[in-house]
Amino acid sequence: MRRVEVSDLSAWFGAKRVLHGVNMVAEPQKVTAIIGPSGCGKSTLIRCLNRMHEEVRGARVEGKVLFDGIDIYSPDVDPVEIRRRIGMVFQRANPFPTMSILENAVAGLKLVGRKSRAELLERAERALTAAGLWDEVKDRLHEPGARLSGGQQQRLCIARALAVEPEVLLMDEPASALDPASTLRIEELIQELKDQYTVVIVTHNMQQAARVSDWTLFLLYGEVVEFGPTSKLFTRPDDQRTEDYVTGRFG
Amino acid sequence: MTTIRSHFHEELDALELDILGMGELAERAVGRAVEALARNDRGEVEAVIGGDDEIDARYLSVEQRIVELLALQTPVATDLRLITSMLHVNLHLERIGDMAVNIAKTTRSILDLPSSGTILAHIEEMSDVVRPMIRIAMEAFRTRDLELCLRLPAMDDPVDRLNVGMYTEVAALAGDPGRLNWGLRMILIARQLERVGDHAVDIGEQIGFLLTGEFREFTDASHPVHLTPDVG
Amino acid sequence: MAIAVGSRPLQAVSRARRLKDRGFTALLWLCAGVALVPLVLIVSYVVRRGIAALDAAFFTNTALPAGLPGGGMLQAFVGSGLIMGFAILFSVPLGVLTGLYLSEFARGRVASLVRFVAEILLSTPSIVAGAFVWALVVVALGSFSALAGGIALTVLMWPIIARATEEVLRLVPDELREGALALGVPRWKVVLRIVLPTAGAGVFTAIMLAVARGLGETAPILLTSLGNDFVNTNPLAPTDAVPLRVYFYAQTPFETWKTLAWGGALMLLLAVLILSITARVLANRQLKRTA
Repeated sequence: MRRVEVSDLSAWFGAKRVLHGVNMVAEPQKVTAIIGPSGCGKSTLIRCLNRMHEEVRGARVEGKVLFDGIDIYSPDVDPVEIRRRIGMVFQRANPFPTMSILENAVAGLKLVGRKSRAELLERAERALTAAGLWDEVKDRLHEPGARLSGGQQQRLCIARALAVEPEVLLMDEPASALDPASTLRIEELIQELKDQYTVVIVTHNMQQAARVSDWTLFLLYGEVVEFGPTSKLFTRPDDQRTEDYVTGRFG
Repeated sequence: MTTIRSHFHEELDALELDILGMGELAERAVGRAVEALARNDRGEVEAVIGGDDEIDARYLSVEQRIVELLALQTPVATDLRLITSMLHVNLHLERIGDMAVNIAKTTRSILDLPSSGTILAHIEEMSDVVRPMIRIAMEAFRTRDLELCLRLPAMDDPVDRLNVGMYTEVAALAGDPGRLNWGLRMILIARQLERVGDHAVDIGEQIGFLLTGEFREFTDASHPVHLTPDVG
Repeated sequence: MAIAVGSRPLQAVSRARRLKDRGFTALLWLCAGVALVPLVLIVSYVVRRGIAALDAAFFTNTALPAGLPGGGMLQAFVGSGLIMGFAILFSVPLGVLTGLYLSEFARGRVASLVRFVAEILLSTPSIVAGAFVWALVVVALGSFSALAGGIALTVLMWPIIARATEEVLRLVPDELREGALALGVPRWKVVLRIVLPTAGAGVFTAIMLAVARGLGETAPILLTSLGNDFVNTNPLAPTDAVPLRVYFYAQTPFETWKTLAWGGALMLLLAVLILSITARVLANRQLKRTA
């Protein structure tokens, strides 16, 4: 479990600047939510935390992201290694179509080469259990991953991310493509996961941020407006803009 | 599926327990205050006054936690009615605690004055009615029993009568200045007890709202109460 | 029959418009039919003329001098196989890797340049490709050969494979790449172990379409493999091929040879049909998978 500290982070898509000097901290065993209107830079910010932002052509980053005290953007850090320690779950579930449920769960382990069948099976069971999916799939591990329902597919992707045993879990609107019941299940899962990971979640659903997170960051036009305990942001925010956003006066 | 939003429901349960606990504290405070009056017990008077700190502390804690729950969990339907009724019940219990303190403080000011046995007996009678009212209101909350709520207005009638009767009885002390002074204080105490009774009825109304979704005032004598429990 | 809704009455469809609809539909069917006619004519004619040639000897005997019965096209089948073998050996890796490069790694001017070259080669007259390979390979080696024929076909086939591969890879959703990258998988492995297998059947389709094209090409192998009356397995020697035989026999006045030519034409037609249909079936299945 590690602390993630963002220090004066700015990001560009080509010449367009989308993040302006962001500062924030994600503590271990806590859920930190990033909220803000569409286009405010939430997804960009979370993608900077595992160096996925730079995979886009022309994308650029300045500033620091300290993970366990080390700047992940320093030249002698391997982005691939960072992504093994800082995992990510995306908005739309993306199980690999050529793989079975079992293969999907351990894809991160198989693709980097090692591990015996027995060990893979054990890791898969652990990850699928942690994601709350084991009971539903334990009898059909060899079926294609794509045959599961939307909510199950997303939990499979969570299991896949957990199987590589990261220390931080980044979730980019993990429930926005799901129905309300599945959404609540994912939220419950996040509460369970936070015991073992540092969780950062981007959501456009304020009520979800309120229910699920301990700390909330309100981002507007790429700038941090307010960052504080969730209960404070939703009961007596410091900034008028935060107040306007959470009460729905804009956004 | 039963573990969805478990944190939220755990918190609701904790709040309910705290409020039930406050009910016990408030009821006991009223009892001890009247006992201190009857026995002329200075130590007990101070104890009641000091004991209100605990009730106030719990009141603030419940209040704050309810505000947070409203902000963070956006409760609806029964959850919402539960939270808003707890908000009101919390306040009523805190006020009952304050009434107990008022009784104790008034007692403190007349501790060495001559008294009247009859009037004291009536005060004790009032206390013996309002304390069960508090207990019944809390039980109605705990067991979600509408019928218990509906008993409360009737229980309040003797309290009101005794309170009104106080004036006549104290007026009868006019010839004895020492006792008259004491008697005037008894009017204050009786009024505190009558208000405790009203708060208990109000608590019953809140529980009625929780259970039926309809808000009706019980104490409006011209309108008999017909409430139907909510199916959900 | 008018139904009044609000202030304006709703009319049923008028007779005039119904006639127009039907007339136009009939016209479209007619056009489709006309377009199908050449295909139907060709297929039926080739089948009719070619069926006569199909006997055991056709498949097992080599060419005999004109007039003698019992000749076959064995050497042409073997030769086509050999030449096609080389063509596939060269064009598949070249085409697939180019397609991978264009889809996954190349950006900007380099990508445009490579694509441009592929487009040009796609529309190059096949005889030009043949002449080019003649000048480069046949002259250098000092003889016509199956190898040269394979190289000539490669020039024509790899752009097809490259472009089709690129298209199929593009259809693989970006989310899959991102999902794999986010697990800490290096990019080259993402491409090879996730993207390419997902596109799998599509790439196979691309190869089959290229083979279908290559099988029927006559001009380039005429200038590079020349032809041979006997079975040849030496890659560096002149080799026969089915289209060459068809071309050669068709120009002669001998009935036996002309019949054999029709047989060869029928075989080519069948091969192309089978490959095209299989490619289409696989493409449909692939579409359902990545949709």
